[in-house]
Formats: sequence, structure tokens, C-alpha cells
Amino acid sequence: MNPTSSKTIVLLLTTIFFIVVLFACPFMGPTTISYDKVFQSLTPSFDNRDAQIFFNVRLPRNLLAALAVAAMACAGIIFQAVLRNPLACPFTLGVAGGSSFGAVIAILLGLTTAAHGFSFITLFSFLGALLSLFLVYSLASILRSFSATTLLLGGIAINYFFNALVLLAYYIADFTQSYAMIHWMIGSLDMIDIASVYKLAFGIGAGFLILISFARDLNLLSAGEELAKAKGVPTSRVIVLSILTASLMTSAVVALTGPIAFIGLIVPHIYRIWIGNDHRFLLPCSALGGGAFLMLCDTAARSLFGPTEVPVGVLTALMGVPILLWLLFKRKTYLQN
Amino acid sequence: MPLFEIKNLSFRYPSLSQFQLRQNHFSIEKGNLTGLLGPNGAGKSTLLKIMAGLLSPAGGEINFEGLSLKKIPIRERAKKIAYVSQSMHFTFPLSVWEIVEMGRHPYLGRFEVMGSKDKSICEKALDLCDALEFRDRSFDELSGGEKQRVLLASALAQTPRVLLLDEPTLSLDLSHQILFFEIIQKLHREEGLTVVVATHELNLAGRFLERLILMKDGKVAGDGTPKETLTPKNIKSVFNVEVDKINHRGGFPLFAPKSKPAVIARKI
Repeated sequence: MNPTSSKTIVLLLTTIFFIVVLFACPFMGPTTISYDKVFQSLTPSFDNRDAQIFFNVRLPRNLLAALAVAAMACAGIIFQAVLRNPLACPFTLGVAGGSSFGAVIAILLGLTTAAHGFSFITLFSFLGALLSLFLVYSLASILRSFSATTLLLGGIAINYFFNALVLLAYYIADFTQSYAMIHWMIGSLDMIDIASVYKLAFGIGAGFLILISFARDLNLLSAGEELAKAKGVPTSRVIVLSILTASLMTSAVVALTGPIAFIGLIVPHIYRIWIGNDHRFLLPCSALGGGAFLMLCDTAARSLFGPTEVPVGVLTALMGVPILLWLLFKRKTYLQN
Repeated sequence: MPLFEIKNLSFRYPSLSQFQLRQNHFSIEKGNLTGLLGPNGAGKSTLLKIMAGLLSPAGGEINFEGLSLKKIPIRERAKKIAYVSQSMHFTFPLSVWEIVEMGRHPYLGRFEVMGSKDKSICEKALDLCDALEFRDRSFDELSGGEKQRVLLASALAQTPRVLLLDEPTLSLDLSHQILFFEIIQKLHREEGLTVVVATHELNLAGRFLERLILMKDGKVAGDGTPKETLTPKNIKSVFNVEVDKINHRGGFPLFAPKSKPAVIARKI
């Protein structure tokens, strides 16, 4: 079979898997709900408890999990390609540090009220992420160099700076506040409001379309700027636009879920080993496969030790690392670069 | 009208390095098979990169088909000028076919998928470069000679008017060097492609190329047919090596260094 059609098959299987997981996972959980009752009528009425749980609690949360990872995985791929560094992740430009700083400031100021899916913590963490991006971009502009090294070093420096501020805030906070901070930084998916999930879906979807439109440019860029230029890619424009899109997607997700970091690094590599590095397939496969993976992890986190929840970030690492290692052992050549 | 017209071209890297291109003046005619010949640091690669549009000249003019090169949009340029760099390393390995497909990039829209015409162009490019048999292999598993041929095929997939090759045989052994030059010669004869190749392989350049531009210290130091340019006197002045000229039966000149290079000899 030729490689293109085998990649198409992987994409197709991943899509089917994603759809199945998206609708199957909400049926699982500490409270059992029945299929018949959920789909009794098209609009879930107030007295239909099962439909309420399915449509208003578990499905939005499931969708949020999928969106979060789709965004993180895509952003991870973009940073890895543009910076030509396999260790780059969505947080390479300091987004994690910046958004944590924002959230921590909101908690420290006591701005913890939330209404209609809007909370100050979310807003502040988004602003914090934008601030760190702004700082890294300004640094690169002042140095007139958008090279991989400038962006990587700038991002890491800014991240450390914000992390120091977060620790300082943690140090001066009282017990309740520091608990809220830790809770936010572990990352969680318990955001219920369905309207914000749809808003996020719209944003992530738009971002994904922009990134997939750069798929071929990214293939060329990951091979080197010179080659990309010689094949007609306006490199600076593609680098700035794709990094900006990926960073905004990351910031939006992190603001809602906290920094679930590791996933944006690991999911792309699982698919890189499996289907190769063609971004036309890598982007959709990682988005859908990673989404399905987190939905499963989150369902396990909700159900396994019910009624208490395990932080989903813990489970993703515990399950994701063995998968990655297994693939690495299977494809030893991947390491020989 | 010449394909490339280069007038008073000069260039300097932003770093403090002493190197610069100075006042270069020549043109490349359509259908020519030209070599840029010179020692390391003579400015061959820099000149090729400027011709490929990858670097902008500091002064002077460079025209392609009568138009200023910098005024040609990047995608249009990639349809006409193809460039192969000295060596390639892929951080994330791609398959041979994926690399050749890259050559069609300037012809495809954002969401457009390769059509059957694009595919047959890629296949023909691989075939011309003797690389069709490993189309499904990973680029990283190939030998140096095979890699160079794949990169050449990817450049050909751009269906360019001119091919710029930067020391393509640098890391190849003798038989692969000859094979590579034979492929270039075939492309020139059968496809009518204009080729400019930077190299410091005197013997191969003398055998396969039609015209040689000698470069030294960022300046053109000689220009003409191999017979005119490749003289022991020129080679001494450009490469700083005393050579003996050996007349080969095939009618092309061969050179053998007399003894130690002059620089080293002086130091001893």
C-alpha cells in the first residue's frame, strides 16, 4: 500500500475514534445514565435528569477536553516545526508562565467571582498569556531576529521570570488563596457553562483552519528557512502568523483549563512516529487523536475513583508516557536523528 | 535577452566578517551550463543565494528575464528559479516523495491537493534523477549521493527555467560525483535546462561544463570556456596551487597539483 493512502486510513480511523469517544464517554461516570432516557426527546426537559447530565454537564466537559488537547497538540506541532526543535511545546514562548501569573494575581486580589462562564481568573490568565507573548515578540523585534534561538531563549527567560513572580505570589498568599492557586495550576476541566465551550470551539476551529492552510508551508519550514524560501514560501509571514495563531489558541485554552502542558508535547510525537511528519496529516490526526485521548483520560479521572476526581493532568502523564515510550522502542530509528 | 543579468553586484554579511562580494558583472544566457569555480570563501555560495533571491544584494542590479529579481513575487520566482543548497538536514524526517512534492508548492493554492499532472511531474523528476526506486523511503535512510539526487528532483519538480546548484557534489565519492554531473548534463541536453553550478572540482568542471566563471575574493577573476579559463596560470592565481596540466584523451583538461600548495610550502 502506498504511504499516502495508509496515512489517509490513519486519519479516517482517528476521526471515527474521536466521534465515538465524544458521544460514548458522557455515558460513563459515577452516576449511571441510560441511552433511552437521554434521547427521549430532542430538547432535554428539566425533569429528564439523564438528559440534563448528558447534554449540560458531561458533553460540554467532554468537548472542552477535546478542544483543549486539539489546540495544544496543534500548537505543539507549530512550535516544533517553526523552531525546528522536537522539544518545543505550546508553552515555549512563555504562555504557561504568563497565564499562571495572571490567574494568581486574580486570586490574590480576591477576584474569584464567576458569572455566565466569565471569571476574572480566566480573563487575567488570558491577559497574562498575551503579556508574555507580547514580551517575547518585542524582544525578537528589538533584536530584529525571529530566529529559533531568539524565540526559544526569550520564551524560556520570560517563563522563568513569571514563574518567579508566581512563587512570590504563592508565598505571600493566605491558605485558601494558595490552595486555589495550586488547584488552578494543576489544571482541570470542571467548567460547566456550555456557552463558553461553544465559543471556544468556534475560536479553536478558526485557528485550526488557519494552521491547516499553512500545512505545506510548515513541511517546508520544518526543513529549513532557506529551502522554504527557495520553494516560494514567504517565511517571515508564515512564521509570525502561525506562531501567533497557535499562541492565541493556547492562551484561550489555558485560561479556561489551567496549564495542562505535557499533552501538547507528547501527542504530536506519538503521531510523528506513527504516520511521519507531513503536516497535512499530522495536524488533523494529532488534534482528533489527542482530543479522544484526553476525553478518555478525563472519563477515567471522573469514574475510576468516584465520587472523588483525580486531576486529569496526572492521568494524562501516567497514560501518555507509556504509549510514547512503547512507540519509541518500536521505532528505534526515530531516535537516531 | 540573457536569463540573468548581473551588474556591479556587491554584498556584505551583517556580521563583522571581512568577506564581501565586489563589483561583479556578468550575464547567464538561456540554455547555458555554467560553473562558478573558486576556492572556499570566494563568494560562490553567496552569489548563488543572491541569484536564487534568498539574499538581497547591497548594491548593483540583478535582473532575471529583464525584470529586477526583487520585484518578482516569491511564488513566481519559485516557479522559474530552483535552488539546491550544499546539504540538508531534516529535524523531522520526511519521505522522499514528500520532499519531491515540495517542488509543486508554488503551483498549489492554500487548500489545493496535488492533481495527476503534479504527480506525473514529480515522478518524472525522480526518474530523471535516477531516484524513482526509493520514492517511498525515508530521506534520512538514504546515502549522500541518493539524498543529493532527491533534492535535485525536488528542485526539478518546480519545473524551473534555471537550476542553481551549490556545491552539489561536496560530500559525494568520485563515482557519485560523476553520476551527478552526468544527470546535470542530461537535464541540460534533453530538457534544455539552464544550470549554474558552484563547485571547486576542477577536473569535473572542465569535463562537464560549457562555461566557467572563476571567482576569487568575492570577484570574478576569469570567464570563458573551460579551455580558456582552466590554465595553470589561472589556477595558480585563483586556488593558490601550482598544477600540471595533463591532456586527457577525451579532449578535456585534467590537473594534478605539482607539490604542496604554495601557502603551505612557504610556511615550511
